[in-house]
This record gives sequence, structure tokens and C-alpha cells, in this order.
Amino acid sequence: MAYKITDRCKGCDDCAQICPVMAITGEMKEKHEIDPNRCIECGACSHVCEYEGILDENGKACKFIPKEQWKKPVVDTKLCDGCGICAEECPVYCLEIVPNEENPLHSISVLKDPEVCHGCGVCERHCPIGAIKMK
Amino acid sequence: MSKYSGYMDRVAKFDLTTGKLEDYPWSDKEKELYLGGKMMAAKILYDNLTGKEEAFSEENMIVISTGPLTGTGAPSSCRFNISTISPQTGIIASSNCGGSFGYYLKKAGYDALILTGRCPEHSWLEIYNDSFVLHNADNEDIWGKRVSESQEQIHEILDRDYGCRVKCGIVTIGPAGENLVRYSGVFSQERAAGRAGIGAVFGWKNLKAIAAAGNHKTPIHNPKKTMAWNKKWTNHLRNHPLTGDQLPRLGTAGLVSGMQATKTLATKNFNQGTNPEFEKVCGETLAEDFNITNKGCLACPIKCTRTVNVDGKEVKGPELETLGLLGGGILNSDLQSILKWNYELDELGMDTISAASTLAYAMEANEKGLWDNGLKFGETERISSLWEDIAFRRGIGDELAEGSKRLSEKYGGKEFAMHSKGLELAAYEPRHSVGQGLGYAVANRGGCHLNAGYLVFLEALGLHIDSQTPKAKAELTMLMQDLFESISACGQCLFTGYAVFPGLVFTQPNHPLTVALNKAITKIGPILSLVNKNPEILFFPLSIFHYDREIKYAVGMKMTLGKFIRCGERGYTLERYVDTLFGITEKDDSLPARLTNEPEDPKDETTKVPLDKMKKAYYAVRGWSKEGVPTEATLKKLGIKKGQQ
Repeated sequence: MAYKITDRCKGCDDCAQICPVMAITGEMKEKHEIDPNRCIECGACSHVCEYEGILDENGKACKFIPKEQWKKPVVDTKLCDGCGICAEECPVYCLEIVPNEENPLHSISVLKDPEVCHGCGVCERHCPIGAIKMK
Repeated sequence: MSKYSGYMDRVAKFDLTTGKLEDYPWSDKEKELYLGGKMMAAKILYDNLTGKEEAFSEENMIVISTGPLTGTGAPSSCRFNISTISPQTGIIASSNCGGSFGYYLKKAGYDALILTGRCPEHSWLEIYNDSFVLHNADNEDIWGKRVSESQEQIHEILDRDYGCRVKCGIVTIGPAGENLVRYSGVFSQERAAGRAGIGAVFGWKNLKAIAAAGNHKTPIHNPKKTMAWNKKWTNHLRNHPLTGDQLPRLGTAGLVSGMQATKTLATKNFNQGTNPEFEKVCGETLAEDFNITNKGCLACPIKCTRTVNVDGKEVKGPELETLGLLGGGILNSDLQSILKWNYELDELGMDTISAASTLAYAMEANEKGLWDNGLKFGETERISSLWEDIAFRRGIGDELAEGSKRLSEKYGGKEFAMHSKGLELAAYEPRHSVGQGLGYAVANRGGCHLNAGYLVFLEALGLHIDSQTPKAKAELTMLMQDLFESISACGQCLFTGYAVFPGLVFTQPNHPLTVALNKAITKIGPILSLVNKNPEILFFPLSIFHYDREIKYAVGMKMTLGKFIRCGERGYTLERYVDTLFGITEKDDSLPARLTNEPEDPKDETTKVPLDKMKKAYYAVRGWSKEGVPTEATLKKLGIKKGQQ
């Protein structure tokens, strides 16, 4: 189930601007639409909607979160094995797999570009061993 | 709707001739019996056989299949399989790949993709969820491109068309596949479904590449327990001496030294099992002088890939097989040249094993005066340009593109054309690992070290059981083949199978337990036979065997070690049965005479492969006839319906 835009939408276009997969379309000042065929349920759109006019994949209304409060992924370097799924899934390419300084034979994930990160939490949701927490 | 998670519960059948897309039925019962990957592909190919299939024919299907664990986050689980009829062997080709395509095929919503027919023009296929679009590969300037260029170009096209960076998985062929080089492969990122000429089947079908993308999620049965089990298994792999140390430190290239020590390093086209100059072309030298870092496939904690510098680019380094066959195999001690050729072969889209082995055959044929081709062992100047000549079938390259089997039929020298059923052997010399020799001969896709059961791991490179005795080799071959079959069908890397053996036996070869194990294994043939016949007796969980509970938690399917082995037996037997429908008999389960008639050590008669003896025992433990055909009773026991062709 993709995210959905409700009638609270004022057509400010902020959601379309942040959507990393161009799933949101609409004219300015008109209700926008999310293409369920494109939406990857990252939730980035819902963070920026000041009118709280977006429902998540479970139909729950999402809360606006000011940018300064967006959470960032924190990687447990003892647990992470650098399998790369988080970096592959990150819609804005802000994670990178690098050698683990404590043991260069093994790798870990690092947040290379915190400014680009939407705080969407896709990385946390996809990490197969629970090594990423959004904080 | 399927009762199982892990699967997308959808298989797409796409006709390249007409562009027609339809759903292909794949029931829960079939999921239980065949899991996925190569076993699923074998079942689909079998069910659709018309009797008219040849490698280069419209009837020949390509099946690209994932496993139920692909995309679940299980360690080393992003793999996918491609099966079709091989232009090298004329029988089933199954080739496994670690690139990201399988992961994205599931994101597009499919467990497998069946391709039929032939594109009317040079094409590439874009898949996005339900949308299948064939693009003209000439107009978009993709036909003719090398492997990395093809992938970059397709990324650019998709990014342009979708208005954003599109995350997708791509498989592509290089020029070699386009020009029907019989050992051309299919590539995803830097990884290859390299063996048995699948690239040429793509090329014949005018299909340059496939890109898959979408927004589906692989369902997981019990996310909490799956995560806990992933954590436990990953930790096990990380702490195991092979998967946590040797493979990340040295890659598969690290096996060269062990092969030298056990005389299993094929040298000078398998004239001998040791290379006096091995230190110049071994994993340790690669690590010290050339390796930049180690990398790995998606979802894999092992990270066995080498990264090396070739002409200022960071590219994938060679695997052991390439290092062995392009090193000592042709008496070349220049590691830098191997790094360069490895990259060139990948870019042109060729299997490095078959390419190197065909070259070694040509050198020996020249040396013996059978074929005046100017190629000589130890002389490497001509080789750099030769790869492109093969890929574009220019001059002598056109002949080399046919592979060693066909060349030996033309020029003679069958006894040193190092293939079985038309597929060239890997770099393991089997005369000091006779179980590996048996495996090479009977393997379903021809002379493949892995499809063989990889007994060299037990005889020389991991454990050190008696490498020359034929005792228990048939039973061990069957057991290992069946285990590998199921591991692969799950979507997982076979290297996870190394970690099933306790680390102690690798780190402490002189430990009393290790010594006892090495001595005991060849003496317990009857017990192994009992397990092979009744694997269900292994119904209890073992702490070092992780697959059963991963399947239970992620897929929701009841699984035991015994059931896992039985699934593998079913898949392996079905592939064999299909091969026999294509005319394979006991006579084809063969090795070049060099390996069966000439001792590697002239003073030691045991250093040749006692194939006939082992083969008889192997057919018996497998429940196959003396002609090597699965009996009706065996087929019935495994639930395989006879005679669909």
C-alpha cells in the first residue's frame, strides 16, 4: 500500500519536491496525487507536509516534522557487517559501505552525507540484523 | 494466494517475439518441492519441453529465477540463477550470479522470469512492476557496448525517462554474447552468470540486457525471529575462519597456495598439479601487491571480492579459477597481465574459465603439431589482443570462440581438451582429488567444480581426507551436490556452506579431532549412503546448520536438514533426467583421457582418476541405472513425473 494524499492538501508542492522517486504530481495550489506504482513508502513526503495531509501505508495520518528534528541513522558498528542493503535501499544515496576501522577485513555502513538524509528510516526498516537505529 | 512468505508469488512469462506477458503458475506444492533458483528453473524447463529445443532455437527458454531467501536479508542471499539449454553442452545450463538483478526482480514483483521466443530486432527489456517494454538496442546505442558501458547507458536512459535516479538491477551481455561466443556469460554489476554460454543464448535471442525495478517488498513470515536468526548466522559467518577471515582476506585467490601444496593446481593445461612459479600468481601476492580493498555482493557479510587497479580504474580482481588457468595453466607468471585480462574478459562478456582453458588447449595443440596457430605456453604477448578477437570472432578468435570440445573434434587432441560434456574444467587438477574428478564427470552442466559437489574442498583445501581412494567418494559427491543444490535454490551463496564445517578442522589440522575426522570420513561410506537414501533421519536442528530455521522464520515453511537434502536430490535428479532426455548417457560422464589414463606423478599409479569404478558406485547411490538414467523408482520417490517429452 502506497502513501496517500488527503483533501487537507493545499498544493504547496513540498511533498513533490522531496519525493526521491518522483511519485508525486500536481499543480500548485491544487491537490497532489501519489502514484502507487512509484511510491516506495519512504515517508519523506509526510515529514514535510505542514498540513498533515498525508496517510502512511497503513492509512494513518502522518505528522509534520520540522527539518531540524529529522532523525538520522546511527549505525551500531559492532553489529553492522556492511551487507550493503541499507545503502542500496536509501532513496537519496546518503549511506556508504566502507572498511571497518576496527577490522578492515569487514565493512560497515556510514552516513556519508547527513545533510542529504531525509530521516525517512528506510535504512532502519531494511537492516536485516537491526544494526541501524534512527535517533 | 501463497501460504508462504519469502516468495513474491508471481512468475512472469514473456514472449520476446510477440511481447505477450502472462502469469506462469507456480504452486505452493512446487515451492515445497523445488524451493526456487536452479531447481525451480529445471522444473519449469522440464514442464515446457517440446523436444525441439536447441541452444539457438526459438523453443529454447531462458528462466531467470530467485530463491525464497533472495531479498529477505538472510546473509549472502542476493543470488539469482539463469537456466537454459547451453550452446556449449546442448543440455541444461544453470549459472548462478551474485549481482543485484535477483534482488530487483523481486522488487518488480516476480520470483522468476521466463523468456520465450526471439526478439525481432536487437533489444533490451525494461521491467517496472507490471510494465514490460522492449527497447530497440540499436537506436539507443546499447548493442555493441561492453558490459559496464551497457549498464551505464541503461541507467542513464531510465534516469532520463523516469526523471530521477532509478534503482534497478541489470543483466547484460557483452560483445561476446552478441557474437555467439559459446562461452559468453551474462553480467550483473561486476558479477557473472559466467558458465555454459548463457550469454550466447541472450545474443541469439537478440536480447542485450534486462533492467528490473519496482516497489514491491519481499514478505517475511516472522520478521522478529528472522532478524534474530540473521544476526546469529551473520555472527557465525563472521567468526568462522573461512568466511570471516580467509575469504575476506584473500578471496578465492587464497586457495592457490593450498592447491599447490596438495598438487591440485592445474598447470600447463593439466599436465601437472603444481606450478613452480605459483608464488608470483597466488592470493597472498595479489593481496600484498595489488589488492586495494575487499568488497562483496549485496546482502553478503563475507566480502570475498578483490578490488584491483587496472589502467587507473578500480575493478574486480580475479577469482581463483581465473588466476590458476590464466597463470600456471598457460605458464604465465605475470599477475598484472591476469588482472588486466580478467577485466577485459568481464568487459567483453566471457567466461574466464572456458576462455583460458580453450587457450591452453590451443597452445598444446600447437605444441604437438596438431594445429599451427602460433600460440605457445609461456608466450603472452599475443594474448591481450586475442580476447577481443574471440569476442568479435576475428581471425583465429573465431575458432577459439567455439571452445575446446569443438576444436579438439576438428584438430584432434581430445585427450587434452580439458572439458566434460563440452564445459571446460575449473583450475582444480583432479588426479590428486579423485572425488573432484568424479564430480567433474557426472555434473549436470558439464565440467563445473561446484555442480560437481566440490569434493576438492574435502580432499585438499578444507579437510584432508584421503584424496586418492575411491572409497566413499560417490556417497560424498551425492551428499555435497544435493546440499549445494538446495543452498543455491534458496538464493544463497555456496560459501555459506563452508561454515557448516566446524572452524577447528581448518585452523588446527593436527588436532586429534581433525585427524580423526579426516581418517573417518572415507570409512563411513555405508553411513553416508544411509543418509543419502533416508535424509529424513536428519530431522533435528544442528547449531552449525542455519538454513532450516532461516526458511522457517523468513518463509514460514517447515524445513529440516534432511528435507533440505531431499529437495536438493530432487532438483539434481530432475536436471539429470532432463539431460538424459537430451541424449546424455553414461558415456558422456567422462573426463579427458589425460586425467583417467596418465598418472600425474608417473611413479604413483594412484594419481589418476579411477572414474569407471566411482561412476558405478555413484549411479548406484543415486538410484540411477547403469546407463546413468534415473530409474522409474527414483523418479517416483522424488515425485518427478516421467516422460514429459
